[in-house]
Amino acid sequence: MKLSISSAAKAPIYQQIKEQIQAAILSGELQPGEALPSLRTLAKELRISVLTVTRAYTELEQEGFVANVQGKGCFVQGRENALLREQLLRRAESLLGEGAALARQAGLSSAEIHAMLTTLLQEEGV
Amino acid sequence: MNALELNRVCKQYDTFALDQVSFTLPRGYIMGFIGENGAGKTTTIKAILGLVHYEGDISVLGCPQEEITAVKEQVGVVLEEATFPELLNARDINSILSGVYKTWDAGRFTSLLQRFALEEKKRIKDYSRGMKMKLALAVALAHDSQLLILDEPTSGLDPVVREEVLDMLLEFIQNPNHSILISSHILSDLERICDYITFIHQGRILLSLPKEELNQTYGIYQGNEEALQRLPKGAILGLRRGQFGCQALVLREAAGNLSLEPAELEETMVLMIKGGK
Amino acid sequence: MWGLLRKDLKSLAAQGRVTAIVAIFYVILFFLSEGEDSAASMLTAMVVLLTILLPVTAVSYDERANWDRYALTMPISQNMLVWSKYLLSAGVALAGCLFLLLLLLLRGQGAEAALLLGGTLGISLFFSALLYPLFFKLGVEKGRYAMLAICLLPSVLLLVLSRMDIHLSLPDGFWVENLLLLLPGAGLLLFFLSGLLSCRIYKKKEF
Repeated sequence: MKLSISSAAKAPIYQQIKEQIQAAILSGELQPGEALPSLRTLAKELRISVLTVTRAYTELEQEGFVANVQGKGCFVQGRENALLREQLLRRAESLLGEGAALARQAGLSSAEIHAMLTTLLQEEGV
Repeated sequence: MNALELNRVCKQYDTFALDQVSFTLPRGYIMGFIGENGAGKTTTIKAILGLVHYEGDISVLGCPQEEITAVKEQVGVVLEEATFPELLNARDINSILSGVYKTWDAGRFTSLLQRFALEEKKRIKDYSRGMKMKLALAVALAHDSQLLILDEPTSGLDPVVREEVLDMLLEFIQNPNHSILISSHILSDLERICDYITFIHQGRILLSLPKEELNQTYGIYQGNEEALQRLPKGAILGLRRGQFGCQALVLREAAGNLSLEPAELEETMVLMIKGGK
Repeated sequence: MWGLLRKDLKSLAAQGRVTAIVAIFYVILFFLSEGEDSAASMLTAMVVLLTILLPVTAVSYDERANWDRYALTMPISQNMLVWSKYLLSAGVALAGCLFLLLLLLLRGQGAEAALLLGGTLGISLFFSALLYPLFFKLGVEKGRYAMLAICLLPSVLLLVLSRMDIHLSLPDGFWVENLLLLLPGAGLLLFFLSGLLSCRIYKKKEF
C-alpha cells in the first residue's frame, strides 16, 4: 500500500491517511485480515506524530474498516462486516444522490436517469 | 506512568517569572514546547532538571525531585550552550562518560558519532554549534534514556541535519516507553512529529493539549465583530481587528452556531499572543 | 566520581605542555642552585603553585563550557562536582610531593624529606582550602583577584610591619619543627571543612 501525505493539502493529515487506507480497502488492495502497519512504524515512515496515526486508525475502526486487536495491531475487516457494509452503502447512496441531482440539473427525466444507470451497470458487467 | 508532570511550578526573577506552569507528558509521546525567545522555555527545562530552585511540584519518570540525580541515568538532555570543556575530544568523552552512566554503551556512542559525521579526535573547541548539538544528542542516546529533553535542538542547524535529527527522534520513539520534550521558538518541521503541544508565553502556559484535539477545542472566526458580542464571556481567547473585519480565536463549546474555520496551530498561537481581548 | 576526575585529568593532560615546562624549569633551577635550603624551598613553591593552578585551570575550563550545568543533567550530584575538585587538588598535591621526594633523594637530601614534604602538603592543602570556596562563590574571573589578594597579603603585611620597624621574632627551631609536623594534619582538616563549605555554597547556586 502506498501512502503519501501533503502538508499543503487542506485536509488534515489524519484524514489524508484515513481516506487513503479506506480507498485501499475498498479497492481490494488491502485484503481482509491483512494487518495495517503499526502506529509507530507508520508515524516514523511518514514523519508524523503517533497520535495523528492513532486518530486515523481509531476512526477507521469506528467506521468498521479495521478491527483493533489489543496488543497485536489493526486488521482489515472482511467486507461482510455489517459496519463496513453500511459504510459502503451510505457512500454509494450519497454518490448516486449526487449523480441524480446533477442529472436533474441537466434536465434528464427519471426514466432517462434509470436508463443511464442500467447502461452503466451493463458496462461494468455486473 | 507519565514521563513528566509539572504542577504549579513558579520561579521568580527580577524581570521575569514562571507563573504556575503545569503540564503533563504521558509516556510514549513527543511534546513540542513552543514559545518565543524569553517566554520561559529554558527556565522551565532547568526547573525540570533541578538546575534552579523553584516552587511547585515536578516529577520526572515518576520520581519526585528529591530523587532526581538517580533518575537522570534515564534522561538524555541537550541544552543550548552547555557542553564539555573545550580541550576534550569525542574519544575522551566516551571514556569519561563510561564512568558516569551505569548503562553507557561505548560502541553505540562510536557508531552515533559516525552517523553524525563527528570526528573522534577533533577537540570541542573546533566544533560548530550544530556539531555540539549532535554530540549532545549522541551522548543522550548512548545510555539507557527513557526521556529526552531537548532545548532548541534544531535552531541553527542546516535543513539536512535537521531532517537527520527528526529521524533519530522518530526512531527513539519507536519504543512506546520512550518520551521526548522538545522546545523551540519556531514550529516548522517540528509540528508534524509532535503528539502534544504546550505553548508558553511570558512565563505562563497558554495551551497544553494533544495536537489532534486543537481543532476540536478551538475554532477561528472570521467576519464582523458584532457576531462575537453575542458569545458568552470567556469564549473568545484572542482577537485581531483588521480593515475588513476581525479574526477571533473561539472556544468551540461556547461558540453556539457561529460558523468557525479549523484552528491551525500557528494561527491559534498568534491570536493568543496578540489577543488583546 | 571517577568520570569527573578523568575529565579533569584529560583536560589538564591536553594542555600538559605548559605544566611540563614549569616543572622542568624548576627542576633545572633545583639542580643548579647551590644552597640546599633555597633549592628545596624553590621546589616547595613549585608544588604549591601547581596544586593551586592546575585545579583552577580545570575550573575555568568547566566554567567556559558551562560544564556544571551540563554535568548536572547527568547522574552527577552537586556534591560530587565539589568533591571531585577537592580530590583533584589532593591528588596533584600528593603527586607533587612524591616528585619532590624523588628529587630530594636524587640529590642526597633525603634526611630532611619528611619535614619538607609534610610542610609542602600542608601548605598546598591550606591554600586550596582557602581558594575553592571563593571560586565556587565568585566564579573563576573574580576568584582570581581574591586568589592574588590572598597570596600577596602576607608579603604586604610583612613589608608594612618592617617599614613600621616592628620585627617579628621568629620562633626557635623547636617550634618550627613541631609546627611543620602539625601542618599536614591542620591542612587536611581545613581542607575537609572547606569542602563542606563549598558544598553548601553550591547548594544555593543556580545553573
